[in-house]
Amino acid sequence: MTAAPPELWSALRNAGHRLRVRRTARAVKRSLPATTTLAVIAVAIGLFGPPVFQHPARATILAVAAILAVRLAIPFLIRPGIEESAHSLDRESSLPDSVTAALELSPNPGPWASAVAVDACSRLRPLPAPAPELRTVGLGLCVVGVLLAVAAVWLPPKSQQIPIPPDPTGTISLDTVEAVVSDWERFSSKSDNPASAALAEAASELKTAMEGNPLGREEALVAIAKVEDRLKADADSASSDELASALAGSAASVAQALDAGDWKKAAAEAEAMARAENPSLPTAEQSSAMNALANKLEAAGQNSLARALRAMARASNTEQAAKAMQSLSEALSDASSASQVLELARMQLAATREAMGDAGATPGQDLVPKLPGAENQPPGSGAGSDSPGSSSGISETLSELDVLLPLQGIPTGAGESSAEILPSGAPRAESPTVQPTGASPGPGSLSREAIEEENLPLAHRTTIRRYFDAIRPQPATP
Amino acid sequence: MNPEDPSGNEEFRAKFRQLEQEVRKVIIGQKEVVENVLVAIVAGGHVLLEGVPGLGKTMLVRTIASALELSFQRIQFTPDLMPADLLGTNILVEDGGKHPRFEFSPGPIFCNLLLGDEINRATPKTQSALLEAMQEHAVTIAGRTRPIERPFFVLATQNPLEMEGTYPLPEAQLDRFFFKLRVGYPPPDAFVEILRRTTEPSTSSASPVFDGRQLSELGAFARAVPASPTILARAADLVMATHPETPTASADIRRFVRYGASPRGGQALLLAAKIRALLEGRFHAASEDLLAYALPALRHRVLLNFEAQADGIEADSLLTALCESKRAEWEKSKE
Repeated sequence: MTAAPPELWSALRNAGHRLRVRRTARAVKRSLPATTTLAVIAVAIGLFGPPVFQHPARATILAVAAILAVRLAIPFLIRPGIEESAHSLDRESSLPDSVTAALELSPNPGPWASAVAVDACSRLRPLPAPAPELRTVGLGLCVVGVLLAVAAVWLPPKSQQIPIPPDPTGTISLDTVEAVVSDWERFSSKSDNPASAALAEAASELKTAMEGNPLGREEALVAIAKVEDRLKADADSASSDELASALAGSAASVAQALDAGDWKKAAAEAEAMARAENPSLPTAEQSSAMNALANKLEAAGQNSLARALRAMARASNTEQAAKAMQSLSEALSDASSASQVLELARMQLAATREAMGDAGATPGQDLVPKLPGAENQPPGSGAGSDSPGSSSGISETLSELDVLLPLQGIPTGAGESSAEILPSGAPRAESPTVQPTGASPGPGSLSREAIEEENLPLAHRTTIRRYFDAIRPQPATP
Repeated sequence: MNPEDPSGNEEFRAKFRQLEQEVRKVIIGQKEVVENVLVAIVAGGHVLLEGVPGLGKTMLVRTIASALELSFQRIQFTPDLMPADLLGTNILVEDGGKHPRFEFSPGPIFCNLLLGDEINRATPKTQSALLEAMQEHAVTIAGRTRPIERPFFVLATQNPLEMEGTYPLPEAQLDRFFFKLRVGYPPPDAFVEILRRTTEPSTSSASPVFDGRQLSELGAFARAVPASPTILARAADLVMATHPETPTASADIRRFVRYGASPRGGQALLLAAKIRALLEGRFHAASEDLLAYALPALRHRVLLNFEAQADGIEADSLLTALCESKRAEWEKSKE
């Protein structure tokens, strides 16, 4: 290659440098939107995201930076071919393949080849000064990229630093349910109402189960579902709808109150009717309905209400009707308190489920809803309370519950472990939140311990965790 | 002009422009046609001019013949024209002696510049009589081959409108034409000038600029212009891209083309590119030169199939699209 003059070679070299820079710029332009978006998302997750995602986010940031660095380095490191430089120079100087022709004809020196080379040199446009030697920059970028890539894989070997989220399968402590059960027992002891008795029985079963073994979330839900079934059965046995239809006509105001589900008002209306001079007598059809309902209530243990209904059905004059209405008033009053007990039990169960599910209650929010009509009453003045501010379990707020609900499980036997669950919001910064005790741990505990103790690659931790979760035995559903 | 000395570039350009100016004294407008005809003549090729009557095709050929001081013959091709009418024949000559003898009477083909008017009106037999003359610059009559004096050019015309009673040129014949040029209507200002000049008492005429020998020197000089391997490869690429069976052929080429351009098309393309390079003041052929002459050099060599004819597709549109795609491809390769 002797035909091409030295200035042509110099121009080709400089064109090669400029080509590198252009290729790098093009590479950046092409990859910048995607890498920037990915990096911003990763940074946002790393800063504000849940702890479980913070490590992958950091690894992603490093990986993105590594990719970008290597992407930038490649065009710098790969020297463009001489033909590519010639094409580039032609393009830069708007030449019709002059440099390319000069270069390609240079192996065959002759007058025409020389003329082409000289012509190409004369047509070259003065271009910017040669770019500085960029291979060093490219090499540096490449090294940085490799280091970042290595860091992305190997930087966080300390698994202890990795926050582990609260285990949703953590145990429900006995204290949580005990507070509920004590309320139920207190109500049931005050009344001989069969609904209260049934509730106390179901609560005792739940408490016994809790004492035997701290229940997991699924198991606790199964136990609570059983209690709910009992509640439902009891509620059905004293359905206000049926009573209202039975009493319709003969005791219109009582039936109206029952239809609205207001037992207390129904009792008051019945008492008012009993005091009235001419209480209405039931028709034959109503008497028949009352007797049928009385049988049903008797079978369900609602003896006082059944007796009152039978007396009402038998009443043949106003005096008997007044007496029967008085009995009905007393029975309805009794049923009213039973209804309140059932309602309270339902609400407490709902609150317990909410606490187990950590349903996102905000601080200060009532975790246990108040009874109907008890919204304006001070804590402890609700039904069944005997001292101000005592444990009616109605108006405890989350801040109050925080004393109760950092549910420290009590190791009461083999295979138990203590755990802490947080009622709501972000998990605490301290980690790990589960302290293994080593005695007969469940599959969930095993998986968590394995992840904590073993020196596992970060990228594989989630997969391993998913595997353990997948092979975990499924609890029985209610 | 010595082909070994590139400094003759200026002289080449000067002579070419001088010839062009001389022709332009008579031919108004048609700048591209005139230049392309001259390029083909310098390259030693034949030209097929296609256009409606009255556009100055015959005048153009006559003017070129005058400007080059070449012997000129014109043949009006008709269906009853026989090959002997074109090539010549042996006739019995009585010179008063005892034995009359046959003497060859050369036909009009023995000239430097032959104008074949409405060439597609002759029968294929007569058209084929031109094959040997156009390629070999010789004719064979009665077993004897007679060379035609160089330079020899055939400038044929054909009318695209009146197809009744015509015989389309066979592919072999078409392939022998260096360029096929479309002669269009002149622009309004040129038309006004034509009207003015042709209706005056005195009309312009071209004077001889140089003779056939100098024309051959121009051709030899143009052939010395180097083409880099890239340009050669691109010329081949362009020609091969007209072939529907090649993998790089476009969808339209595959759909509408029956046969692509022949190697003669590539030769014409490259020779014309070299001449254009000299005219542009360069010492080498470039990609843009190839693209500039792709249409005249390839349009008559690309044979369309029935579907293209049914759809009214012309070779020009296919070649224009091909050139655009190749231009983009070659520009991209510079990145």
